[in-house]
Amino acid sequence: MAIFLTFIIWPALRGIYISFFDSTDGRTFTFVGTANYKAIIGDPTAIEVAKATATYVVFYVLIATTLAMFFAIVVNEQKFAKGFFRAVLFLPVMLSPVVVGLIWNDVLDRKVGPLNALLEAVGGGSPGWLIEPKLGMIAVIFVGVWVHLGFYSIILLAGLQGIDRSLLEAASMDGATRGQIIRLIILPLLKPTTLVIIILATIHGFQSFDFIYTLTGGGPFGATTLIVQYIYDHAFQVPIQYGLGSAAGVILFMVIFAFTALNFLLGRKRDAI
Amino acid sequence: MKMQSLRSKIAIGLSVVLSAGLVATGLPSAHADTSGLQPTSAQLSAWKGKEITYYFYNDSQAELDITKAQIADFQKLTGATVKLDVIPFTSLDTQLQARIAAGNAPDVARLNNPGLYQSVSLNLETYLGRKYVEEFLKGSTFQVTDPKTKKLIGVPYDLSMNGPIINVDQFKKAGVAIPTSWNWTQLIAAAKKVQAANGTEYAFAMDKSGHRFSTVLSQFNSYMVDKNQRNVLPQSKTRAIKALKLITDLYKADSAPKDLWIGSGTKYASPVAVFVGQQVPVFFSGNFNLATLDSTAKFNFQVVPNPKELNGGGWPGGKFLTAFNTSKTPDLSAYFLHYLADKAQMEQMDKGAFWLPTRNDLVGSGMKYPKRAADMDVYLADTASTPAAAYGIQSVPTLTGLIYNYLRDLMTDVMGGKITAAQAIDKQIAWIDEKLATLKK
Amino acid sequence: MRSLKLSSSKQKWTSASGKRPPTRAEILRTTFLTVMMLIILAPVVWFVLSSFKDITDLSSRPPKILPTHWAFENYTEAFKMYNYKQYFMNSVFITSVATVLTLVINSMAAYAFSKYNFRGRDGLFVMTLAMIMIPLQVILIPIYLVVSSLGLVNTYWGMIIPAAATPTGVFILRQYMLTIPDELIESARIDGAGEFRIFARIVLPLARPALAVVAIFSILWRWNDFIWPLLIAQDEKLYTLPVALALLNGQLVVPYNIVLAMSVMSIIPVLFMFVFMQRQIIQGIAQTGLK
Repeated sequence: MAIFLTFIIWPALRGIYISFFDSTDGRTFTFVGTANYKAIIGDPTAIEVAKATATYVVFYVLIATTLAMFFAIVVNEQKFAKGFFRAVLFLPVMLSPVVVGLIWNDVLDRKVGPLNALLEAVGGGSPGWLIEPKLGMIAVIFVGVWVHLGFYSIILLAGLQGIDRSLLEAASMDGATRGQIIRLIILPLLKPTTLVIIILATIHGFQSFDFIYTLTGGGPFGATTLIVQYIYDHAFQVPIQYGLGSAAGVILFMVIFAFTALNFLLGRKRDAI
Repeated sequence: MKMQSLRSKIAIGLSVVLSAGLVATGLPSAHADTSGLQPTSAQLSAWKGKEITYYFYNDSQAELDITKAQIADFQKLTGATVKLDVIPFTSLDTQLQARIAAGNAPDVARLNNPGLYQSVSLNLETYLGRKYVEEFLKGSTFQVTDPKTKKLIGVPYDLSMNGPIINVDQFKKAGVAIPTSWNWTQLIAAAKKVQAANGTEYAFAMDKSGHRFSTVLSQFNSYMVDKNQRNVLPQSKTRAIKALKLITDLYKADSAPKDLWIGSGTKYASPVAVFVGQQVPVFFSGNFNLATLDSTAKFNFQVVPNPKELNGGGWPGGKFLTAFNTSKTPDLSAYFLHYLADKAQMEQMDKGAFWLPTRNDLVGSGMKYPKRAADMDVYLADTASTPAAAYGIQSVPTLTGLIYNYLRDLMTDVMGGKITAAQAIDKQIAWIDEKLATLKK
Repeated sequence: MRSLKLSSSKQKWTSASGKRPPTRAEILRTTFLTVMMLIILAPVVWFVLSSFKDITDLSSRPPKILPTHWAFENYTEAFKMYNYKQYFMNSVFITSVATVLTLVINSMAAYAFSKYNFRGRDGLFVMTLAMIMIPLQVILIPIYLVVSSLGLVNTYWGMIIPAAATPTGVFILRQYMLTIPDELIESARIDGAGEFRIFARIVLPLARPALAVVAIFSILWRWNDFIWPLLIAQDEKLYTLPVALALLNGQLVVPYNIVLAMSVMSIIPVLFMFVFMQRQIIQGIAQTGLK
């Protein structure tokens, strides 16, 4: 517990404290009240960042959880090479963010990337994945999902295996279609696990930073600058505004906390967690 | 044949040009006295077994190797130990900020933005004397002189000069003469012709840097800040717009690697791999890239003079050495810095890593580079013909890097069609005004 | 079963071995999974192939799938520039010590959260949950200040100890320990077993699957960490593989082909671990049930 206090809680509290100060070097602090918070709210870049973060999180969570669910159900029924598929699914989870960024930088390159070579071969043109704002956002959402899909699927898979098979067999005997089985039996039984996934995905989504930083550097034109990069840029890149960075950190924390608490409460209501 | 005559021409012209340059920037010709800086025996015994940390980044493997060798010599000389911390350029300031904040600053650092650390830098005059600064080229010490107190917070380590590097093989194949003097129109025409003849991906590439682009501004006689810390961009607004449009149009038209520039967000990016991969015949960079190119390029390349519009010449930059006032052994730190920047060591580094000397004695005696001498001569000549106004921006050392970065990001926006070149320059003007105002507070 | 019904369709695929022909659902499923696997695997394979290309091949257009000449020199160069063995040993050391420490600390905290009723327990637990949400970047400087005031900068411990406090681990373990029946612990107490004995002999063995999961995640996290170690490891002797890679990538002049080679070298140990341990990893996760 002492370790938690020393290395997480104390630094976090200090971060909150610092958010009311102005510091350009991390050494000298001048009290500025809520000026940092006001500055963020009034900063047009911050609004862009908030929009980008919201877009990213919504799509990331939706796509990642839906796909993971789909995958888990399909893999669960798979008999041939099941272990192999599960294993491959988990592979990207194990890669370091720097490597993930480098891999996709290579693959998505407009001119020498294999994806565009493929698209050109089928007459799909060569879109600038990393130089057009909308495509850049699509690219980072896709890569984010690519990285974490295995993680979520495996957890869901575990949940699926916990479901009593006799229940499914009975339903199938009674003439229920596959769709009905999934909709009426599997999904409701998986709800607790799904909630965990949604909570984790929401947190991951809000915290996404390092692979995006390697992949796009927050570009093109700031389209993939999410809140953590905003914090990082202010706290560590010149001109350093450490207090402002901390204030943005506090805001991020409150947002994630609110979302998680909401999820948690909704879950608890249904005895999920 | 052509090469030969070019070289001799430069060789003849160089001494004239250089001395003219020295006069132009008002440099003293006499060498400062350094005899008083040998460590005393008392110091030597006090330093024995002491350790200092050298915070270092490198632009090439050669720099790292030379530094390691020099440290080994220094350790023999003094009996002290130097811990070399090699930091990636991309997190240079981040890490240093954190270390300083935690009271864990290194003793000596190699930096490219020394102005940021003014308040924690060691005043070198205390340890190395008031005359020490006079050992260095005058224009090159602006960025390490505290504008308020005039104290010396570091020394210039590499003068750093911008300019174009060309793929000679590709120029020859295209039948385009190696330029000895040209303007931007000719440069672009030549680059496009070579591109077409060789089927390269691009015609032109520039490091993603406002510092590199400032060279073009200067050639169009446009400057951002003068030596009196005033915003002078409004005076040359139309020329600045023209220069900005010239470069960004190349990127917009895909004649330059815009994916690299736009796709890296707000990070620095260098097209050095594009040049090494022979996908661009003209690479606008600086002398610090020569060592890397020399060891990786599998074709003939050469440094050519900067294009001349209203002005010729390049744009000064620099890498600096700074010592910190938190050092437990400030005299040792100062002496280590002095050692690295001393004539013998600097000469070794300049020759091995293709740096440009910042010391008057080295410039005065005329550096003889064992390799790529002709290339270095071009840089030296461009240094000499760089207008004095180009040094103006260094009068605001805490802002220099920020001004470059802001300009770089505006260029990104222009390339993406988010704003026009004129809007970019307007924004830059307003931004400089705002920043200069904070300086006055 | 539904799949049996479907097998009555017209599809008649016979495999060479003469086994029961696969059903349409099975074919669909396998095809779908294969396509998805390709999407997941292809970029990684492409990347590994790229690491064997020289700079000319890397910038050729259209891109070549296989290198025109296998540039093994990318690897020899990378080996020359970077002390791979040292970084690898550091990575192994830090990862294993941090993982052991993580398991000890997190399991104790989780036990307290799940099986003791003390005042403020729920509050503390919510706080732990909240800690999962604090991005490292936000508290980087405060943590650094703490670590440096403890004199842990530039030491192995500076990299290990702060990392051992992983709230996610506590969360996973606590969720699992909730499923251990209280009666078991009660009866052990009645039998006169000490608290530590109960924890070590009853709770830990029962929580083994969850511990395995936390161990695996901890290994992954610590192996791939780079922001924190980059800050703490100032001495080259302390660099881990990802730190060295971040360094290499951050040095603007290291040729791209060598960066690629180094990246592949840094993921090889993880791939090995993955190939040999994937069954344990996945079963471990499956057994925790994570509900």
